[in-house]
Amino acid sequence: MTHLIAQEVSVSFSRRRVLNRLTFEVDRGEWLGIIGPNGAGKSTLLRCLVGLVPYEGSVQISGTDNSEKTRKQRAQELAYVPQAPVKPPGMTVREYVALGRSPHLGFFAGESQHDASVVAEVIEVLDLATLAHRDVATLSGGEAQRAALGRALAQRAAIIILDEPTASLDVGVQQDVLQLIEALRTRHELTVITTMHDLTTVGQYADRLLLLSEGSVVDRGSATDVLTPANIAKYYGANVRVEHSHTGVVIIPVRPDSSG
Amino acid sequence: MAALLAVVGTGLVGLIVGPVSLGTTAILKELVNLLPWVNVASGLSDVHAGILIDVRLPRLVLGLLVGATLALSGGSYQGVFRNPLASPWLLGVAAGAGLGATIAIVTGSGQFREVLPLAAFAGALLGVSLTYVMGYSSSGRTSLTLVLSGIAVSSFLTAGQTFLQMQHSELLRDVFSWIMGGLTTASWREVRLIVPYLIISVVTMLLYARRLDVMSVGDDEAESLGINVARTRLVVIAAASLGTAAVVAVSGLIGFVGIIVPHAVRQAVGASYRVILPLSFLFGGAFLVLTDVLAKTIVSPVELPLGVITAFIGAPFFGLILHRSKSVAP
Repeated sequence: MTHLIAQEVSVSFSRRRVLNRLTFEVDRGEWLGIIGPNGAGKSTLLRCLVGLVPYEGSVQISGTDNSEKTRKQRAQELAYVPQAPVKPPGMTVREYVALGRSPHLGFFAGESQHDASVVAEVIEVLDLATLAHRDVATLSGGEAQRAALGRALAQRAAIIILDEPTASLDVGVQQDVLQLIEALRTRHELTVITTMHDLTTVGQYADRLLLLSEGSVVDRGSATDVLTPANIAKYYGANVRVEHSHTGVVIIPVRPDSSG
Repeated sequence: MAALLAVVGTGLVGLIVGPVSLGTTAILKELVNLLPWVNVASGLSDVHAGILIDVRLPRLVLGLLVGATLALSGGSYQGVFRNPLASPWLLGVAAGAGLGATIAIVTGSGQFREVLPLAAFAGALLGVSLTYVMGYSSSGRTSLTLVLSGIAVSSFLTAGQTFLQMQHSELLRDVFSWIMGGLTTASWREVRLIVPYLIISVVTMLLYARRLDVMSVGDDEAESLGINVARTRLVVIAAASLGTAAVVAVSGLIGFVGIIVPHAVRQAVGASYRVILPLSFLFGGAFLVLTDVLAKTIVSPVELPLGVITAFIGAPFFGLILHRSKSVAP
């Protein structure tokens, strides 16, 4: 079942086209990986879906257009974790996760019993209990990413949008975070949309890929279809070998042969 | 709880300390007398009762209101700008008030005391409005464009004030005594004058405290959490500026309260504005009353300008906090 539809979405910054008439769909429960070389427009596309940049065209979630919704309604359907979330010093992990309840609070209201129980549940699911009273600014990269996921989960939104969730993490922590996202997706039936620059990780975790180049969709489909040596050479200018395992696609950069 | 005790405690000290000794029990009895249907003999003469009710009490109330509003506004500004050094003066309020007051002093001949609060109030609001109008760039009104615009507007208005002062150097003393701030002219009239504005300003800031918590993760993330960032920023800046303008109009430019009080509170209770703002309000009032007591007593019978005391206490205290804190940037 289709969860999100983007139709003819275009974005311009001071008359420069950054996204050019993108059209795609994401099914409920699907993990869509958005890939493309630097400057292809990946982050802008995510910001567009969240409503952070003005765009032409339409974005529909569960059949209704995003532009007809208030910020709060949008935030109840769609949670967003940017590449480097702000970690306000002095704020505890619990307070930080509780910010995710914001779209559900009335104008004068504080957190209710229900909000507190959602936060408690999220803290347990993400194994944040030992960190709950820590200052978010003091967390390590992996811990901070878990706290940010916690805030997104507390929003109880059915779509989670993650901009480079594994950037600047060690390879072990990268795997932990991705395994966690995968587990949460199954447990909460989430639709996940991520940008990722690491082609092997995206080839291992995403159900379907959207390859962007210079603001346009140039290929789409399964990892096997999209992550071909030809595509990677053409759009990334990289020489790679592609291997297939039962968990997905593995991309191995190979030094270009300069002898011949 | 500690904050309320601080308010009551400093309040009593504020009433007790003064050139004329009134006696603590007599003061308490006279205060109880203010309650409806209560009548106890305090033993104070009419003159002394008058000093208490019409001089010390309004001065105390005004001091509480001024300190509380400055600290609360400072805390709110720090939330909006995500910067612990943001003060209520940041967006041209002080420079505008200074120019307004100077105009009142140079044009009002001997009568300026009547129009000065109004002129300072108008100048303060003009200053912050100019800043807001000017602080617009292609990416909207960000914290940075507003701060830069505030610097430009402040310099411009201060230049205007300096120009006027040079034309009327005989009035420099009046101008400076106003700028340094104080509560020497406090009466119930001033209290009545500013209370309506303070109610609007204070209630708005306290209601928006939760939004300030969300804003602490930055514009984009706050927006993605359902907050209308531009509107929140406008409302909070407007409320804080209105309150600041009102208190500046009756007390001059009392610096530092808006920075050190919220900062000290933040160090003690953490980053949530839902806690920081109400506590800053209470401790700000207590702090200013205490400062006012010092201003009255240090070189008695001469009164020192309050701004001088807040800076004398504030700066070292601030240094101490900085020295002890692990991190400063929000």
